[in-house]
Amino acid sequence: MKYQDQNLRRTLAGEYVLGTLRGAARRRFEKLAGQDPALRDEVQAWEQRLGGLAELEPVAPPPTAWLSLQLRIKTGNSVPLRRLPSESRAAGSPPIWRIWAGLAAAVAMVSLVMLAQYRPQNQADQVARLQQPEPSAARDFVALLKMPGSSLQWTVSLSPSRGMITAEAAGDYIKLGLRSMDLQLWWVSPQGPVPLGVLPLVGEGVMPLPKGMPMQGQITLAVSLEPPAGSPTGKPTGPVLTSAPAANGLQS
Amino acid sequence: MSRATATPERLTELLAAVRRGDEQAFAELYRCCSAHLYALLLRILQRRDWAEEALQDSFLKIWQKSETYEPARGAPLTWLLTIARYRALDLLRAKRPEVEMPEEGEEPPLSMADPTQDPLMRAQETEGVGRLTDCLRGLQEEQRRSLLLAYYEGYTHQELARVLRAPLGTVKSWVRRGLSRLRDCLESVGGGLER
Repeated sequence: MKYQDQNLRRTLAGEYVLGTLRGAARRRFEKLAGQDPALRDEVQAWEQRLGGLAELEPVAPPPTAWLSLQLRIKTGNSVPLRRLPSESRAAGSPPIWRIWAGLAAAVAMVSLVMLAQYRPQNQADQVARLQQPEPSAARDFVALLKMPGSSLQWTVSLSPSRGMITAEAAGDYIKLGLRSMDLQLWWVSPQGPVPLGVLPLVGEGVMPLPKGMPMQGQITLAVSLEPPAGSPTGKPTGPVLTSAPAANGLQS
Repeated sequence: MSRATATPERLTELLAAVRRGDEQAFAELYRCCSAHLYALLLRILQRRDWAEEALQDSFLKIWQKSETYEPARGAPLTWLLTIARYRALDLLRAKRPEVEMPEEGEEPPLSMADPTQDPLMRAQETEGVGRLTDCLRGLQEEQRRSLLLAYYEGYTHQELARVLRAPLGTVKSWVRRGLSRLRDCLESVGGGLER
């Protein structure tokens, strides 16, 4: 290529901006433009000339995009939180379900391990507790859920004796990103996520403990990004932002 | 340029603040402009999941590369949209086979409208691009279609030749002459875009 020819330079810059300059030729052009301010000027002139075509009727992106972007920036993660379409295609299901499925599988495995450990020592008692939890003697379970890349965290207590869950927020929430959405707390049961309630961004929030939630073994909690007032479907619709096991805490 | 919810001056200020690592400014920039970028990405990529991915990629780049914006060299929104468009083209290059052969169960394209007619009509609705639209209308039909298909669909010369049912050499010539005539037209009409 004779990059001295002014017309050719202009045409190549135009084709670069238009996108028809491809492959090796495109890379070669980029390299040249990097060392040639006049060629960069040609590119910029074309970007301005064709710029009007890019101005379409605005379409608001889904609210998940902003928070995912925040997390990518703060965690230095250049990989999108949403899986690439090619990956989700392989799984045959939306990306979100793969994450939940993974969590649920992990929970199921931990439960199995724990049952295996308990059974030899206390099999009869274990089975009895499985079938008939004793609320009066039950202990609180406590989980610390940290939002990656921020100082925001919640201390979540599940109290079977009081039949309620308290969540206390600490740290700074990502102000602008959460304006139009809520963070929802889930219990990741072996059968799938069960909605618990919307987490407070400041102070303490209370939500009822679901009846029939077995208060033993490993309890995993997760937080997802949802529309205001929580998922409309009863299942997570947004990305999972964090998850943590609840530890058996103090006697209530 | 009046379509952004912030003025070009404000956007330039925001970009300068983003360069200093100001997260609030970045958030405001996102609020102002994400819907503009997302609209373009949807138009080119035709799928919401890809458009959202490309939107995140674009703003990540804006966050990391805001120092490369030079106010003297064009409107800030145009710069932002250019970043988004190049990202969309990159994604299309990587994913084009999927575009051409959607599998069962895939999210269908958002728009099946005639891509050669649609953009020009939409571009015309936009303020400040009347001259560009006029100049595009002044091109020969094949030249205009080639340019718009390349711009909005990311078609290569080969893809243009297939879609327009013309020899490769002919299509290349349509693109080059179309660009050249477009430039002549834009410069003759008043040169506002050339300053």
